[in-house]
Amino acid sequence: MARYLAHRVGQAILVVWLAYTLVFLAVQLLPSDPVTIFLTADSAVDQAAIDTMKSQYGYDQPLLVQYLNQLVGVLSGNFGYSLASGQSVLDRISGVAGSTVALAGSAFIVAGLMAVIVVAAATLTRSAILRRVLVNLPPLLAAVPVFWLGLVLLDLLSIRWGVMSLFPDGSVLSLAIPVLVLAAVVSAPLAQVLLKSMNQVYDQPFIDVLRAKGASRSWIFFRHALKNAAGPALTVMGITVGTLFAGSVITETVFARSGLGSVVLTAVTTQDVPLVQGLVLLTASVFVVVNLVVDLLYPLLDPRILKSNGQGAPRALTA
Amino acid sequence: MSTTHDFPAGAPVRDGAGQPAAVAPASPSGRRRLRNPSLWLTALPLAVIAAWAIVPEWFTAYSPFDGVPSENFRAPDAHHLFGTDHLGRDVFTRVVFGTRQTLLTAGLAVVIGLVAGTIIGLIAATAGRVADSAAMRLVDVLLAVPGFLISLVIVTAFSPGPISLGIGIGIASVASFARVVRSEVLRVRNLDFVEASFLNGGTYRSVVVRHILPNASGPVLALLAVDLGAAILAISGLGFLGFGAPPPTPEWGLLIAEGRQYLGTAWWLTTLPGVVIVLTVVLLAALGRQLLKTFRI
Amino acid sequence: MTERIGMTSRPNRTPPRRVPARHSLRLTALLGIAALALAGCGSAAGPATGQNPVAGEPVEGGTLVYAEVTPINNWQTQAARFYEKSNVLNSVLDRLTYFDAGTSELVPWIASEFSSSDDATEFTFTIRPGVTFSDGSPLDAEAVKLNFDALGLGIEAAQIQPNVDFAGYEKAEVIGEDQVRVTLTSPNANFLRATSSVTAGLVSPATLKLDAAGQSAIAEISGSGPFTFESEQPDEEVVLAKRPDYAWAPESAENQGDPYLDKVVIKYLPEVAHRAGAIQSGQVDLARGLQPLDEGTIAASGNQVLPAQGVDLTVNMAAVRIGSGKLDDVNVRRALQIGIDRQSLKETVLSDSYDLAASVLNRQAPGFTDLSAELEYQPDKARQLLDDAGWTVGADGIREKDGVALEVTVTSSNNSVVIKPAFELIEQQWREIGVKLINRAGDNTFLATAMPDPSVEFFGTRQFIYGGLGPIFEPANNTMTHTSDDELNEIFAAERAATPGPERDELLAAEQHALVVDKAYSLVLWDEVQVYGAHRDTRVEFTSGTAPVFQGAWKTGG
Repeated sequence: MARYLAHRVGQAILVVWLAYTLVFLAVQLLPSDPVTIFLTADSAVDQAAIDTMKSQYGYDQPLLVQYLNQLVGVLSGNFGYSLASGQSVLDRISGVAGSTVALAGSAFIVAGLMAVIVVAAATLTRSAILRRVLVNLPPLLAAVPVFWLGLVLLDLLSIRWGVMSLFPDGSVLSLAIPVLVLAAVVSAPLAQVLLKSMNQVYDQPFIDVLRAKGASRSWIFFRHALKNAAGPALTVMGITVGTLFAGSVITETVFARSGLGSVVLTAVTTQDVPLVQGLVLLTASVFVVVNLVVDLLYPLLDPRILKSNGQGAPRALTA
Repeated sequence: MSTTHDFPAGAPVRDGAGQPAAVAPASPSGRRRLRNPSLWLTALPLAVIAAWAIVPEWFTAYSPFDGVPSENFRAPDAHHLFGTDHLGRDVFTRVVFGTRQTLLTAGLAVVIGLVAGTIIGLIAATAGRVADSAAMRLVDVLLAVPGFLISLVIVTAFSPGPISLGIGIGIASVASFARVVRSEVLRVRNLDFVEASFLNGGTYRSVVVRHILPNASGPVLALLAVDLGAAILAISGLGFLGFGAPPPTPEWGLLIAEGRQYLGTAWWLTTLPGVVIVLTVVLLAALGRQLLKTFRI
Repeated sequence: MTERIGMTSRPNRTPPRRVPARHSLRLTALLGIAALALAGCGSAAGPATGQNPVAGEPVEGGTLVYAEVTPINNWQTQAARFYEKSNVLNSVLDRLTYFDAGTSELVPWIASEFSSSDDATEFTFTIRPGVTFSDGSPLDAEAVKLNFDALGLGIEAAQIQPNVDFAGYEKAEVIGEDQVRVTLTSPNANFLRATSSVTAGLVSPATLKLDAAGQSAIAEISGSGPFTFESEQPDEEVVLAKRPDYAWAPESAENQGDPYLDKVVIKYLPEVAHRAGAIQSGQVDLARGLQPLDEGTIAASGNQVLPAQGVDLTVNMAAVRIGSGKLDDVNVRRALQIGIDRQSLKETVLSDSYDLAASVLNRQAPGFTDLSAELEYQPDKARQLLDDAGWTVGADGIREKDGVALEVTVTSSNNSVVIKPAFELIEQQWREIGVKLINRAGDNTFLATAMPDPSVEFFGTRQFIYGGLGPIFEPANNTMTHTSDDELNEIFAAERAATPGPERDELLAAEQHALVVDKAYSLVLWDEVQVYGAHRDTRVEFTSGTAPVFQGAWKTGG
């Protein structure tokens, strides 16, 4: 197990490094450079000033040198300097990350719960109509644009009915509503995948066997079926980190919350490379940690994966 | 080599190992199911929307680009089903004419995601441990960099248009297709009938194409339906954040994103195109499910 | 017309006080210092206009919630050339002078007296005694000198560029106890006006010594203004608290003492649709960026629509860049100028709060010349001009010349609520004369790269012009036109060297005529105005740069 864990941690670090490198290359596609954008945002500046600043920040160096310098900086804990905000990347991100973590973290948990509740209710209900409604709920939620849902809710709750503030004022509703909006969207694919695999599980004879043995419907669902069906949903949950991030950006914008959303938008808009890189390091790290956990949970849910493949990786199909 | 299972072997594959012919839609039961009214209830409205994309001018008498400035912000009525916008353009006309661009962009995104994702997922699950490791690291990297950020960078680098938006959003969905394909293929390939086909002398290609893909495709199709909708929504999300195609292009996502600023006064500008999007996405998802049921693939 | 601002912003000033001699006003200011307890007495008249139905005395205390458009993170004071920053810093930083839009004159502020040498190369400022920065250090002549150096030379250690309005700065010297003399290398008649800009806000010497990150953080910036920083939640809010000992308001200000309000909370409402609702539901007291459609709703609900005229700015315009070669020919630019139906613009996407542009300068700006006769909508003449210039209509209705389509692109920031719809309408109008406009207005991402790119034909904008029109149109790489036009630059130079009076006004008129008509580098649209929505209980006025004056604001406490 320890060896497996070390292997997975190694992979995780590899992934973060590759992501970092990939994005470094991708941002080179961008048509301008952060110094020019920063200086011309205000007024005319002469090329000399731009050149001076470029050399101050090292943007005049060859690409490889820039990359290696950045990498060395990151390894020594120096994530660089955000030109547009004038802060260090670490300050800029850590100043608002807490807000996003609270929003996205809560939404992540709520989304998981919502998916299980919808699927449980749809599976366990004896009413065909209710089941039909519940089965159609995830696709309906998945069909509503996040920002649109948020704006309409704000318009109703805050402006027309006056029960919540337009601004994040620390009240329960001002966190709960954005969390629900974000969770609704994230839970939709989760619930759909869970429903799908749940149907497949229920098609299996062992369910009939359990029924024949007299197990209650909810016992079968929660003790047996859920565990067997959770695999694909867990996979989706692991990769939801990205969706969650995109959703957070939009939700934060709609609800005028501080957080990584505005950092991302300004970073891309002003082509603030060190800031983009810092964000990638952060999200990539969150992603690999969450997926490490998912991967560790997966064999517990579906022991066949481990049993048939030793280390969890599939063998070649060709004999 | 045999695989151990927790429950009776061959159990979950009634529609696969037992009766492989069921994959073909031409079976009598399939034909009977084609008469299923609820399938047509979802397919017909979608056909109308497809017609909007192909021959938009059949559905409206107004121009999607030129409005009558003095008739702006008219509420919906018999002349203007969806009202008029800030420049006096007929919103229904803009929705109808926006269908093509919307479906092309979202379709491009889905095709990119589906094709690239299926290839990567399939290789990962069936081509050996090294290939799996490499493919999964690639997928991990694609996932670890939020697809949204990739979309932003691509749309910023190559100004927003159907191609850049489609590619940006498509790349973002490659990873999730790959993951689901791999996970499904892994599930299927451990089933006894797959082992059996190999033992019966099936080649890699024939086993993958005849047995693994069809049996693994259920959740993938479910994802496909959702993903087409998700792509439409992603475009509108980018539009909301100011990364949409420039006006006067009519495009669904842009229509609701642009119309939202009048939400307080001219509710129809964002609400009615919004309803069209929601309906379309719901219908697509429903169609996906209906097809699954009908063809039992 | 000239009292446009007065409608809402200076309703209570009585004529005898409007044209006071400079010295007597200085006395008033001094009295203000001596008699803090009398704060508020100057406003005995109270506001009583149609817009502000509740007359009465200013009410002390309370918190005003102000909604800005988008949050910003870099508060460096010299680069405050956009509203999000200047509207807040206006209440944190004092300046040497203040532009009184009512009289179109500069009045004393931190400089109790100021004068210019005849050749406009030497300027002397007498610094008002007893002023302190919020960090406790004195705002004396030495501090002013250090500020001038930072403005004129930049701060290399903090990577801060010189302020463009202070071009030609040579040095500042402290003379005697309380005077500072600035020497320029070349004449600049606009120099005094530049000292009234928020970007020339005075900060404490300790602030000037901070590194780039320090000077970007509003928490670190120490000014002498009526409000000081209290707290912030990045991207969500900034809280300013009043300075109880504030007693050095501009000479023309009603309130010569400390602010009536205890606190100002700046919040952000990026969603246009929420701004009107935020005011109607009483969640904010003042919001910038009301969209035209919502003005009627606000007024009908008994709240206030307050248009703040941007006298310190150019009009809204499409500045022309000729880098792509398509707009080289001045006749093409003229065709586009008269191919805009401005009246339709006003009726469709603007409102009564907006005045159509009649020049590149705002109607109330000193030296404004009325060119409206040259700006009438003449589509047929426009087509003729384009035909004559060799651009013939192609198969798709878009003109071509030598295989190149007359397809032009506009960029602008997304911060103006009306600029994108305006260009949408212009796109329709220009299509009728065979010109295709690619409307990238409101796309901030595109703007970042388009601003330094001379081949993007139009930059939709309005600019602060504290230093006159020269600084924004003159340099070879200016972001407006990316063109250095020798004839134009000659007029700019002559204007800067001329002493205020009829001769200079003529040069100012020549500048406007050249930019709008002769060379048509600026397709002018409407006079800059920022339309604020205010709750019915809010009493607030605005500077000539459209910034709310929180020092004189109060809430009726209803």
